[in-house]
Amino acid sequence: MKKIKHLLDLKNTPEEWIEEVFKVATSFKEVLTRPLKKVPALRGKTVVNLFFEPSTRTRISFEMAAKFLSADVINFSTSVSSIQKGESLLDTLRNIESLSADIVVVRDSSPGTPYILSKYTQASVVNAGDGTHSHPTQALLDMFTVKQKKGRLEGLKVLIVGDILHSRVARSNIEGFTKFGAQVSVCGPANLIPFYISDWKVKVYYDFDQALEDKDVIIMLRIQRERQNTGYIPSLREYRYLYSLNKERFHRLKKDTLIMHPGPVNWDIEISSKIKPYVHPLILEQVNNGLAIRMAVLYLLSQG
Amino acid sequence: MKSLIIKGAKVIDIINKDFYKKDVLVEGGKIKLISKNIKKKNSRCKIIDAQGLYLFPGFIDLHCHIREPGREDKESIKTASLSAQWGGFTTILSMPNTEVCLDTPEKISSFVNAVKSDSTINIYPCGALTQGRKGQKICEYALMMKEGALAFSDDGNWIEDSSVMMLALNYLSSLGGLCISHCEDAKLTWGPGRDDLLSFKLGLLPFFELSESLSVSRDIHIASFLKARLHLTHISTGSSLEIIKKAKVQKFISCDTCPHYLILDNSYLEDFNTNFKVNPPLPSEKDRKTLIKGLKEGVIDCITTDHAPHTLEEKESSFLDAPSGMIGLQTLFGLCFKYLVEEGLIDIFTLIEKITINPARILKMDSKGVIEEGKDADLVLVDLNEEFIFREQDILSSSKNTPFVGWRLKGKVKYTICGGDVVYKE
Amino acid sequence: MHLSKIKILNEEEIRRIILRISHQILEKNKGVKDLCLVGIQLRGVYLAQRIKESIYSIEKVYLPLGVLDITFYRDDLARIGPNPLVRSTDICFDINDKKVVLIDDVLFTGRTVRCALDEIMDFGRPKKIYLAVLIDRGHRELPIKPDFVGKNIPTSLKEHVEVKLKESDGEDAVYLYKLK
Repeated sequence: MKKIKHLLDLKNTPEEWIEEVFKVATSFKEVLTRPLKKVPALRGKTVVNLFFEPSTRTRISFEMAAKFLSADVINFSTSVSSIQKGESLLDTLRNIESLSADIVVVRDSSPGTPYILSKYTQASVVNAGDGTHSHPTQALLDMFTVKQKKGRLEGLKVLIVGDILHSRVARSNIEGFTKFGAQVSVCGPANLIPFYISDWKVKVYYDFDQALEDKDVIIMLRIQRERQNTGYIPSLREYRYLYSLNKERFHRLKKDTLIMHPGPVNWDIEISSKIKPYVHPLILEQVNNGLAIRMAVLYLLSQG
Repeated sequence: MKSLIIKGAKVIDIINKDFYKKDVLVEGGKIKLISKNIKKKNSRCKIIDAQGLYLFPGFIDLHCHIREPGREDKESIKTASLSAQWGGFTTILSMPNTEVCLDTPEKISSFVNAVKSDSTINIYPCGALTQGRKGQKICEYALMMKEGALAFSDDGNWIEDSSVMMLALNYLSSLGGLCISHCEDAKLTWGPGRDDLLSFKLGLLPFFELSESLSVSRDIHIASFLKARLHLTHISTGSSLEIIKKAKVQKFISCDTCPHYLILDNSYLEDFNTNFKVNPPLPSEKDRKTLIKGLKEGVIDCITTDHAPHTLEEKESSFLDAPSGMIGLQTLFGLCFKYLVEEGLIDIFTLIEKITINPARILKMDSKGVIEEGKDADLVLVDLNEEFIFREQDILSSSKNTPFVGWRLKGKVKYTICGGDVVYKE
Repeated sequence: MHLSKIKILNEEEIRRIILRISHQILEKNKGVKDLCLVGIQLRGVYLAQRIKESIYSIEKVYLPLGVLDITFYRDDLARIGPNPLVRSTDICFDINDKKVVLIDDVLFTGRTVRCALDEIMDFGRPKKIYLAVLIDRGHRELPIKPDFVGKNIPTSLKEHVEVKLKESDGEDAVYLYKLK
């Protein structure tokens, strides 16, 4: 099976490699149930978390994944970065390279930074989210979650709801799910759905009530509170009226529809807290799967 | 059940451009039957002897200003309703540029409740397109439509920021809503005249033609890109019409104009009577003729009143200070029939089409605007032979700002029926 | 030069070895108390299952059986070819204070067993760990000694021992491959 050096996006990642990630992640899920959640697979390797854009959850997930593999972890985030002192992006990358890391996990608010990094380093690069472009490990864990529950991805109807325009999670999920033969549609306020998305063979709904009726998987995206001040939507309460997964909509879903969310959930905006007991367990399982997936990714990349 | 038979009226058939003499039975708020010689069913059935009268669908005004909430002294829902039914209107759309702008679902809901208690005809709110009509942030269209807003407009203002217009129109059209645009680039409105020699001589700085045509062009461009429904209101220039005509291959563009742009021209400003001061200003004679042509050709879909009440005190200011606008609910039909139809400029069927079926279609009111069995019983009986002078004492509006007092009008509304009830009888 | 193939053990011999090892385990442990079996993927698991059935036929008790995949504990991950297949690990019982019999098909350098020992310790603290193997071919690189051996086969490094079991290979046999 072909080895790959970097995980930058899902478009350029072979399906067999992704299948391997799913398989290995299943084993890591078991490791996470042990009293001692550690395997020595990456012992002696160094993983650098290069987070130019602040993130607690994803960074911790990668950090724990690396540590459970017995790797040494170094965290580098903007609050203490030399970028603030005026160091350019490329100088920072060259400095990181001199630290001889084996794997660099990078997140930035600008799209493309991981690609640039991959040209400057001998290490393997993992994209932990670059601007609004791509978030491959999120898509992998979402697909893995669905595959574990439904046994397959092909032919499933997947609906992504929310701020599609600004979401790297949406882009990666569309890329990933369609790669494996699922039918993806999107739903959200017209100003948050890009005009040309139907060219990507994705069905567009503006009416959530209509959209949710026959779906196997519904992925609810976070809506940032700031969006209501930047003109795309008039208010959060109108967003809630039109696009919130409330009790009434929940009860109209097809039986066994999976409800997922990349987190953190704005309860009572994206999802009503009244249905929290029904939906929270799977969302938490996504987090656990995220850890297993990231362990699998680091493990497979370190084999290079 | 209450019922009503209208006997012996000449019922209009717009499609075949004809009138046929038939009785109309109204029951349960709907037109139950159209047939010859309908017999009275029971004692609770009223009869209207409509011999010699013409039966039209109740008139629909897409653009009207009611000053409630805030300035009920100028015009309240109640007085607007009385004024409208005198003029044959059974449905009006009220613009949101009230003192307390109708830009939230709560305000729409309040308005709708006030209509329920104070009005005898159908009055629907038009919500604001942007918060405070400031042209910066979009409003909660979905929630406002839920409360009863039928369309959205910043009338009085034009959204200068194209990105805001794009966001507003994109969102609104995804919800199936209608945008009504008042096209005016305020920076190109230097004064209350037109850009011609006449206004120059009067010392009135121009409302440039470009002010309207540039903004029309931009709005149509955005609507075409988004494939969004757009209605352009009070069109007053030939150059705007040109642009609209080309755009009309796309079925979702529509426009209206007012009687004063079809009948008056800017020579009426010669004695600086503020009752002739409107925005956009009265057209040049050339533009007036072009507008009539546009009406005939179907480029202009509707005639609206742009009924704009102002107090005597406000209108008694200097020409530059006086607010623009004239009331018009009571005079639209009489003026248009006498000065357009009787002059042979358009036929009665075109006129009726512009004030009934077309506005109904644009507002997506499937059950109004036509006389057909099963449709709403919103009807008006008019004596087309009666000519009369419009007097000050006829004015039912709380404001009297009309220049047509003393004018001869033709076509007197005798009965106005709304939802099956006779709401006005002369 | 060609590869010659010699059959070292046949089906019947393997069956007797399993029975003998089962008795030896019970003898050394003085019964089934605190005993449990852990098979190393892949064939160690099948052998462990057979030993479990065998012990049942003797003592009428089913011992707890766990399976172990040692891939994540290998010390040669960077050097091996395409990603080795990771199989499942499942130890669903508590190994603390238990006596674990670790079972594998071939004992060679001892590195696999070293991995397995590390991994088992991550599950808890067993009281004792025994090692049972079907074949010991010598050439230890670590100080690891089996407690129960099916057959000792001295080999040279150029030779290769292959265990075939019905569950995965369709037959029960042990072959020795020599380069001639």
